Amino acid sequence: MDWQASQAPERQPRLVAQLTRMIQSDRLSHAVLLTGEQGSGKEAVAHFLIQMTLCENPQNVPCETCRACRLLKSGNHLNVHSVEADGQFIKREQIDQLIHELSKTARESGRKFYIVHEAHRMNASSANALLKFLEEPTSDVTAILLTNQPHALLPTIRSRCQQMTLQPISSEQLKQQLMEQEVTESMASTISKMANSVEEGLALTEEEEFGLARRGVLKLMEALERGTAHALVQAHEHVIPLLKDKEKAERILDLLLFAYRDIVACKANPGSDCTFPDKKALWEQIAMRSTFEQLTYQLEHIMKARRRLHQNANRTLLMEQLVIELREVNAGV
Amino acid sequence: MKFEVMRDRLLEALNDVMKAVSSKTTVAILTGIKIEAKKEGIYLTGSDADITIQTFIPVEEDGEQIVQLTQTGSIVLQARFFNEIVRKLPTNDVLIEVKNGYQTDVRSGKSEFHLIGQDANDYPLLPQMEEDQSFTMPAELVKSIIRETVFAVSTSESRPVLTGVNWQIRDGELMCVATDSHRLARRSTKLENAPADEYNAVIPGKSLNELNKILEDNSEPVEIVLTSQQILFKAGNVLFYSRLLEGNYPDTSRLIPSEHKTLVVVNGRALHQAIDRASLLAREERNNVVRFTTQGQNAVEISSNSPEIGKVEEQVLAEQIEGEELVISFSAKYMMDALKAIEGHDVQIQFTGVMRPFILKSVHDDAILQLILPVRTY
Repeated sequence: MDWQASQAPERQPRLVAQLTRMIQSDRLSHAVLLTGEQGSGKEAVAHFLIQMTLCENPQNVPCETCRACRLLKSGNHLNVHSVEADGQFIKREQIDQLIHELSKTARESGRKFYIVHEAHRMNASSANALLKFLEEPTSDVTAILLTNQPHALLPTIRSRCQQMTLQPISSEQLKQQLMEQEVTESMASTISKMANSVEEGLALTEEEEFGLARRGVLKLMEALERGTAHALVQAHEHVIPLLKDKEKAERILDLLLFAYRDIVACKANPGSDCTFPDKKALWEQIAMRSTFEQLTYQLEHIMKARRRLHQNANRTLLMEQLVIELREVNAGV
Repeated sequence: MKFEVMRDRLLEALNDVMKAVSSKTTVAILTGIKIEAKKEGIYLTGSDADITIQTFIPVEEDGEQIVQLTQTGSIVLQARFFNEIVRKLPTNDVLIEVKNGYQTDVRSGKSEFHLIGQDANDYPLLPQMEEDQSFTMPAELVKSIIRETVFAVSTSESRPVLTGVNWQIRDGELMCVATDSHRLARRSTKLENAPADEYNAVIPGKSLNELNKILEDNSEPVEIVLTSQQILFKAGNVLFYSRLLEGNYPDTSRLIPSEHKTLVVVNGRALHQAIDRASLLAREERNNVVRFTTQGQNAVEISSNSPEIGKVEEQVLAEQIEGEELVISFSAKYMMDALKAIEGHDVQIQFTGVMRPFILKSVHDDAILQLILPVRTY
């Protein structure tokens, strides 16, 4: 993975300032838990923290030129270890290996660090193995745990870490930044709801399937106005082929959810900003004739479909059923 | 950097260095070896983070020119490719030259390779070793110390400190202890030129196994330099660095019983062979357990019984049996490992009871001590 320390001050100015003060006054705990949404820059902050500590002559930022900084940037620093989920979970052997590695003396000068990416992916056994090591580290070791689901961690692990929360980037800010990168306004509005960082957003604009998904969902919304049969045909033509894997299917359901959110927002406050500003006329039209009860019913069904997706339901059937359920409301249920 | 070197000498040096290079490393720079050309000769360094091996090719040796140095410098080259290339070069003269940054040319005869190297400044630095904390031992002694202890280290990673051998220097004596909490191997050695300060470190078992492969079985002196971070073994032109394990090694001296109720003296080799035979039937069942029974004053019986397979009994003549009658069961593997470490001589086994650990020693000296925990059987 690329070394992202230099992005941290820009993405998390407040937290970085706080960390810098802590490092300078040597008040940093031996275990840090960084929590924040996907894309809020957890890695960047973790990297910054490490580089700031190991840098040989830091001012308020790492010097970027000393040996430690150079090694960190090229990924060749031997005091930094990291663990990522191997498949679904971070397995027991991975933690054992990490502990074994860290129980040997350091090769470079300074503290040793380890980063546990997606710490909530530790299963009970690996979490307990790590817990023991968190409690009694053998020497100068600092743990950095990253997660976007702090509550999925064992409470015993949370209580042993200094917890810090990263600010998510606001969707308005994200939209502005995306538009500065020459993304069209309608696309930027949609992406600012789906993504959590500029990089992630730009990656989405370059992804062909995301464009197709967005168009497919809007086509489906139009077709839902025209009748169940139309909607089913549209779903089969433009949406179902895109349900190739769970993440993509989840994304499509999210887009659909945001479309209904737009309608509710239009109904409640005609001036509110939309995920799909290019379809505002259609949303207003639907909002006019639907009641809040109906819209709530539809939103609930999308949420239900999203849950069933995680239970590995057949995705084609799931989508068909959802279309029918969304239509039921119009038929006067 | 530019120099010419004899291929066979380069290959010989590479061979040792390659033992430290691991293909599984996650750190890119460690897939390479560092080549450093200095006035006095060429240094090659390979490492897998745990161990680092450095070899040295002198410019001249015994009046023979081995290296022709044109320009000093250093570079890191991909170990696997460089090794294969040198192995297959057509002539015995190899020219290595670094130009425009990290591009490296390797020429021999009419063959010419252009390799892309990495910045040698990114390679991990070798630790600074203070020479005052050091002592020397002949290579064969280092090898036998390793052989007699390292087999007993733990292979489970649940207690990392037990995967190493504890080296302790106190009162001019080197005490090496390894244990996996079921058995223990201890070897003490008198040092002629022991360092003044006490020293205590845990050396990873894997590192010692590698060192054992590199050292030759001769009486050449090996200098051992100690620091709190690393340990260095110097043998001729080869330097072997190992990281140490952190954490406190458990105090094992209390585990070793000082008195005994039964004493058996028996020929080690005969006992080893008998246990090896008995374990044939025990292999699958219950962790290789064999039973040891004293019979009168001059024989012991080794037996094993697996209900599905059958049973085996064998009598081994004992030199001497003193004290209480005894029936005890233990792991055949642990016993054979221990007997192998004591090597052939008459072995003295001291038991303190059926459920208490027992110890094995040579009858001639106390240098080697092996301790094994028995297995409870009914």
